[in-house]
This record gives sequence, C-alpha cells and structure tokens, in this order.
Amino acid sequence: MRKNLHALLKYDFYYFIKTPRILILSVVAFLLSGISALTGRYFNELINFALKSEGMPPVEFDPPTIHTAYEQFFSQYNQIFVLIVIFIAVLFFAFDMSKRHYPLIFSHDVPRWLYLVSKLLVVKLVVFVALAVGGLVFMFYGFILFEKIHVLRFIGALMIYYVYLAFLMIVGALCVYATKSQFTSIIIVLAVYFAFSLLSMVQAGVFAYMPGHLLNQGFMLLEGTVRRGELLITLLVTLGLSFVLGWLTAVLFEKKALL
Amino acid sequence: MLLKIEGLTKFYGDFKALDNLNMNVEANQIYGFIGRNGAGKTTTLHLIMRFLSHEAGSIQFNGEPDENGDVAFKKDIAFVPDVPAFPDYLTGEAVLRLTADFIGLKADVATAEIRKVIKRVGIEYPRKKVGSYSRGMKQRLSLGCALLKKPKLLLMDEPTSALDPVGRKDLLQLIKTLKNETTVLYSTHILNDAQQVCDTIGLIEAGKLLLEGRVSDILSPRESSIYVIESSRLSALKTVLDNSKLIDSVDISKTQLEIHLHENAKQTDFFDLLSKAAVEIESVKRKSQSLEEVFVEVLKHA
Repeated sequence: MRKNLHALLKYDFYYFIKTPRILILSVVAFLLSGISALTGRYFNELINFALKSEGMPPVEFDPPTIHTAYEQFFSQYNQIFVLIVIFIAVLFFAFDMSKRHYPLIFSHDVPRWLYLVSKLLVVKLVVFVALAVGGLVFMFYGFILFEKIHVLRFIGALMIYYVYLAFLMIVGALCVYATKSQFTSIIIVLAVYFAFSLLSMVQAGVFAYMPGHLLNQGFMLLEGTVRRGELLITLLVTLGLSFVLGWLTAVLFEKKALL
Repeated sequence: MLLKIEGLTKFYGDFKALDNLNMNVEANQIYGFIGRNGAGKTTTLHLIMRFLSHEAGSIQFNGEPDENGDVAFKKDIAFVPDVPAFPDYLTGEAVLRLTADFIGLKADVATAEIRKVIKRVGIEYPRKKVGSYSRGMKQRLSLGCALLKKPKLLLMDEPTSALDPVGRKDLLQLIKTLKNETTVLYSTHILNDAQQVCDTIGLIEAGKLLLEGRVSDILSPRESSIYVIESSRLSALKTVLDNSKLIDSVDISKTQLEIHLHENAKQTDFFDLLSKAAVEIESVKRKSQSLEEVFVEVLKHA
C-alpha cells in the first residue's frame, strides 16, 4: 500500500513538475493577485481615466480601501482562476485514459481507489500551492499599497474558496470517469459551476447552503459580517457533497473497463 | 498449473468476445496464444490482468481463486501491451525507476537492476525522453519494465507486430532466453514467430479455444494428413487419386505429388488405394506440417 501510494504520488507529481502546468497555474495566480491589488488601489484613477477617454467628466469616489482590493481579488479568481483549475483538473484526470497509460500503472498491484486518492491529493495540492502563491503575492502588494491587511481573515477566506475549488475538482473527476470524454466533462463542470453561481443568489431553504455561497461567505468573512452558523453549514454541505461525489467516482472507477 | 482459465465468457454489448474459453498454461514454458485479429486474444489478456471484468468463468493464477477486486496476484504477473504508452515527458530511465517504485525495490537495488535490464533489452538512449522513442524502442522499454518485476508469468500481447525484421529477430531471441526464468503467455497472429519460440500452442477463434497442445505434438508427422509421393508416372497416379473420396486434394509438381487426405480417411485405405493404382511408386512420406498449415486446417473445420 505504502510503496504503491509513494509510486502513484511520484507519477502524478511528474505530470505537473515535468511539464509547465504547475508553472502556468502559479504564474496566473501571481499575475491575478498583483493585478487585483493594483486595480484595487488605483480603482478610482482607472474609472476616471476610462471616463476621460470617453469625453465624460470625472466622478468623485470614496478613497479605495483594502476591501476594494479584496473584492477585485475574489472577482478575478472567480472569473479566471476557477476556469483554469477546471481545465487543468479535468485534463489531469483524463490523461491516463486518453493516452492509454493504464497498463503502466495497473499492471502492478495498485488498487483502483488508491489511484484516485493519489490523483485527488496531487491536483488539490497543486491548486493549493498556486492559491498560496496568489495569496502571498496579494498580501504583499496589498500591504505595500494599503499599509493594512487582514491576514487571518484573508487566509480564512482563501481556505473557504479552496474548499469550493476542491468540490469542483471532484465534480471534474466524476465527470471524466462517467463520460470518458474530456470535452463533455469540461462542459458539465462549467455548467455545474454556473448553476451553483446562480444558486448563490437564492437565500431560501436548503439553497442558502449550497457550495456556490462559499464565495460570498468568504468575502463576508473579510468584511467581518459573516454568520458563523451559516458558514459552518455551507462548509459541511460542500464537504459532504464532495465526499459523496468522491465515493461515487471510486465506485464508478472500480467497475470501469480500463482498456 | 500456473494459469488455469475455465469457461471464461465476455460480452461487449451484444457481441460475445469470449465464449466459454478454457486454457491451461503450465509453468516454465512459452505458450503461444495464436489466432486471427479479433479472435479474442487481447481480451483474454486484459481479463487476466483485470483491466476488464468477465460475465462468467474463472481465472486461477498460481492456484489462487479468482476474486473480484483482488490485485495482490499482480505482484507476480507482468504485462507487455501491444502498443506500449508512456508519458512523453519522462525519460526511459525514469519510467524504469517508477516501475521499480511500484515493485517496491530499494533505491540501490533498483539502480543495479535497471542497469541490467537496459542492457538486456537494448534500450539505446535511456536518458532521452520517451516522446522521442520509436515504437520498437517503446516495446523494448515495456519489456524492460516487465522484466524488472521478475514475474512468474509474463503476458505479451503481439510484441513483434510493430518491429522491423532485425528488432523482431532480437526480441524472439530474447523471449527464447526467458524460458529458464519465467512463463510466457505470448499472443500473436504471426505464426512463424510462434513456431520459432513456443513450447505450447493455444489456437483461439471467435472466442473459443480450438486447439491446445505442445508444438512438437501438433506439428508431428504422425498427426499429419499430408503425404508426398515420388513416382515416374505422376500424372497417371494423380488421375487415379483425383477420383477417390479418401482424398481432398492432389497437388502435382515436377517430381512429386502432395496429397491431402480427407479427415475421416484411414491410412490403411489410402495405402490399399495406392497398391490398386498399378503405378510404380518410388517413395511415400508423411509430411510435417507448419503451424500455418495446422492453423488453416483447424479453422477450415471449425
């Protein structure tokens, strides 16, 4: 078991380390974080520059705060970073299937569930590292530009966002092994992502605790307005759904014809 | 018995790929699993490796019962696929090292074993990325990975089909040397290769095993229904034989007749026929068949 997990983790890490994928993800996180801090700090100037180029008079805004930068950060991540994570996760899960690498792994005494565990651990760790890089860059520039940063709250909000990303990655894994198609899987995960984003506007009944709410709740944590009970239930619902989907993926993969 | 397959049945949708297949592979021999494309060879190998699941029957390896989800038996089995695939970004050596990790070899032992395997299978550029390897070189790397495992049973799925003549000859030579250290189940449709290296043959057609036995027995002249006759009056003899129900066909050349007896014909009746023909005969010999001839013969009657 231990030697198999070690070999599987090594094999999966090679996918990211020996190719530019981890670099791409980290560079994107780096750029998005830098841009978020800068656009937050110079938000008023950017708006007025845009108005001026259209021949319109400037508008007086309140001076920007670190909260403007937070807003920019999560907006950028939820529009760009999440899409890259979905693409990278789906392609990663489908890689061995599409390239016919299964004999290389399953010619050995490797249980199928262990193979999935390794895949999930590695992709989650890679996304975690990229998110950590992004978080550190943002905190660095945020502190330089605003001379203030809510370190613990920001880390908390990032962790909440990470739970949501991890949920989407498991949806990706399930789709890959259910549909056997990278393209279909990407479409389905994007549909799930947009559906949960829409559901995040619904505050009624069970819909108030769907995974899409985590983004709002992370932002509310930064503003200090989060209701802890709601946040806890939403986290538990998301982790519970992730567990169920992960279990379904394992059951599906166990029965799958490998070649 | 190292590998015993009983009543193995596999469907792909409505298509019956394997139909109550029975096979016995004894230890320390090279078993040639021959058949046409689509006969069920690859499916059988994939079922042995549990890449697929079967509908009925059992596969016993080393006397262990066939249990779903159990993968421990794979410690002693290695598999060389027909089209080996490796991540392009890894070097040949990295692939072997990864295999050593799956096997559980310690680092120093792995280094020594990898060196031996590289030399043995002839991987020319172990430090180059696999993406730049030819298909033949990938085939060698795949065999290297398999040998690193020191398996009790080595499954090879058409390993020579993509190789050039020199590569094919080298690989066949290598397979011959494996007989002293492992059992090889070697699937192929190249019958000449099988005849060269195999001790035992299993012939599969439409998912059924039609013939199984030692090559020496199957190709023995005693089993042959082909006779070669030398005579000074070949044409006259041919005319007599052409009209007999005992004979399927008579081929004439400059110096001899090649006669294919009907499957139910008795040798004594045939000799009676020859003696009654009143033609001087110089010699009658029973001809050894090639594996290809046996193959065609068996398929004709299947």
